[in-house]
Amino acid sequence: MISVAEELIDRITAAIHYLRVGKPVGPIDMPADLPDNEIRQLITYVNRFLVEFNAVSKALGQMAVGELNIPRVASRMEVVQSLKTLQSNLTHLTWKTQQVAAGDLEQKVDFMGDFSIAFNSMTQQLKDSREQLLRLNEQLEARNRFIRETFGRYTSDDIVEVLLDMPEGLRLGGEKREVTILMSDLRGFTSMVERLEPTTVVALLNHYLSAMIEVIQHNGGTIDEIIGDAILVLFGAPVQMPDAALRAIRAALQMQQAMQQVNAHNARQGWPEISMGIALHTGEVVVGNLGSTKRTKYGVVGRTVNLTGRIESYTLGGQVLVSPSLMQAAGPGLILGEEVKVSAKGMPEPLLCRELLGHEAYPELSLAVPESQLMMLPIPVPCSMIKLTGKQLDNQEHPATLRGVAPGQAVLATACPLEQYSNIIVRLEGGTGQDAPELYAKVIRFFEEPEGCCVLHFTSVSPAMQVQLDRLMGKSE
Amino acid sequence: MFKEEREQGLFTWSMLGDIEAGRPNLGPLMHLSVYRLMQFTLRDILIRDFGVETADRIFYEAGKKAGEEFCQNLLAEEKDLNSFLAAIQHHLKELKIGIFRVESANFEEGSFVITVAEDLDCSGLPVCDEEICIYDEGFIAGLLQSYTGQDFEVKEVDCWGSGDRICRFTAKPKK
Repeated sequence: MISVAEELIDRITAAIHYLRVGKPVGPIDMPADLPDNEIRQLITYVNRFLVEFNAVSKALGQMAVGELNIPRVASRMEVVQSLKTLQSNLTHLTWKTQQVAAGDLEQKVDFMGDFSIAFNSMTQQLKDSREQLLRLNEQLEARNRFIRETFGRYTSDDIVEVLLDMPEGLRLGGEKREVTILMSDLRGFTSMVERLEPTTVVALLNHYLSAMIEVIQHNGGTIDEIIGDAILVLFGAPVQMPDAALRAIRAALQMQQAMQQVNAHNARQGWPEISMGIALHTGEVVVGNLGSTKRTKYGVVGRTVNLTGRIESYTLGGQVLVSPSLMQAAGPGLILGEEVKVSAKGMPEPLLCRELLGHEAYPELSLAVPESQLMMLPIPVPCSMIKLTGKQLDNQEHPATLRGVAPGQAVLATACPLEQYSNIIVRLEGGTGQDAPELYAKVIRFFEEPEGCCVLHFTSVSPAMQVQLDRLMGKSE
Repeated sequence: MFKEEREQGLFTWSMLGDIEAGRPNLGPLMHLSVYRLMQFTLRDILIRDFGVETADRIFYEAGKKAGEEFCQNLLAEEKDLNSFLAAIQHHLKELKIGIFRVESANFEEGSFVITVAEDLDCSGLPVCDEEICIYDEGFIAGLLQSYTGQDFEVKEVDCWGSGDRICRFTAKPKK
């Protein structure tokens, strides 16, 4: 029998108890004189176990707080092997996750049970999401490219940016929308083209259009169409604008004001003076992409567009005409002039438009009211008059006389019945073709006395006619 | 072909033969114990006749040649290192060589810590306090050299044979 000191048994018991209750336990002190027997061997083994257990415990504690780069635990205990496998797996997973974080979504984890399934599912979903994101990005880029190509030339950069920022706001498939339409056209430009060199026509037109486009874009308008000298502008499409009518008004006034600089430039270049009429109208239109698969453009269609064109045909050079619906949309502050009745097909009653002279909010943009001082001629000048229906001549010359002249205006007397705002050609005798002294004009009002006399507003004057008019005005002075 | 004298290695991938044609009924797989039977009897005789060091060198160089051939024939299309490592993982799993995992990879320095679990050579062996996956060391060195063009020093630091559950290898370029 081996005799064992009770104290040694107590120390072993205490060590095991402390292990069980989670208290730190160091190696058991072994008396130096303890004989080399089974008890010594037992305490030696227990101490080895305690050393390895403490090492494992410390390593587990470090791993629990995420420290994976821990010193190697020298032990063959199964728990240590499991610990090392766990450490290896966690280190591997850390590396895998780093690769995923760096963008490699092809990473897979094998043979780690539920974790493998979860990890592989995560990377697959990330991959799917990235691919979807790339697809969406491509679609977005295509959409942005489309918007830039479609609108970039015709609207200002800030409007394009607004379009790009609108995920759903731009429905190009077509929609009904209330917009304000601005339509401008040069008066008498068609006849002017016939008298000018083609290069001059293009240079003059480009200079004029550049000036107008700058004003339009500055006010947020989208140029829908430029046909020769005519410009069709939208306010309120493609980007909706609560102040579309006011923007259009400001643009129209600024465009007329800009014509002074345009004509100053024309004079410097030796080009003829030009004048522009503008119509503003608010109404519902259909907006969207129009055209074929080969050529598509954003545009508008509807009665509102046609009616704006009709109003524009009543305008005189330097004039802005506004429709009743525009006046309503713009609210108070409009400075209005003469009423102009616009008739159109399908309208039982004429549209009561008004000349726009300015807006209280923009006093600097007030259009100067022409105060032509008609100088009556002491001797009427015989001439002939041809009525224009649309752009067609009626080919019938009617005798007439010029009774008075003023810059841009004249008084005509004729027995031929004329309608207000109808267009006519007046010819003086002498010269043919380009040298013919003729002018295009619009009948703007009639005199009660003498009967048959009306005031003409010139839309185009040939050089030969201008010489004659200057002479007449010089005589009248 | 197989038995001629040689100064340089003459191994080619075609020496593996047409296994499908050759084993229409038994197929390409065999029990792992047969592989180990060949490896450890071979190691036994090599050690007996040439000593441990020479036997280890032979196993390392054979493994390295195998790694190079493996890379050139099965991993040649992998462009970047991550894809290369993923392809090793895939092939080693598919061919049931082992579960290849990367614990760390310093791409700039070219140093790696790699583990192979359920290793073909050692998993389940009796614990003997020896790292015995010398062929694997050479195999990994051959893979890395073939891919990077750089000679690697691969060392097994944990092995089933030495009491661990996985084989852990460190790999770094030879200076």
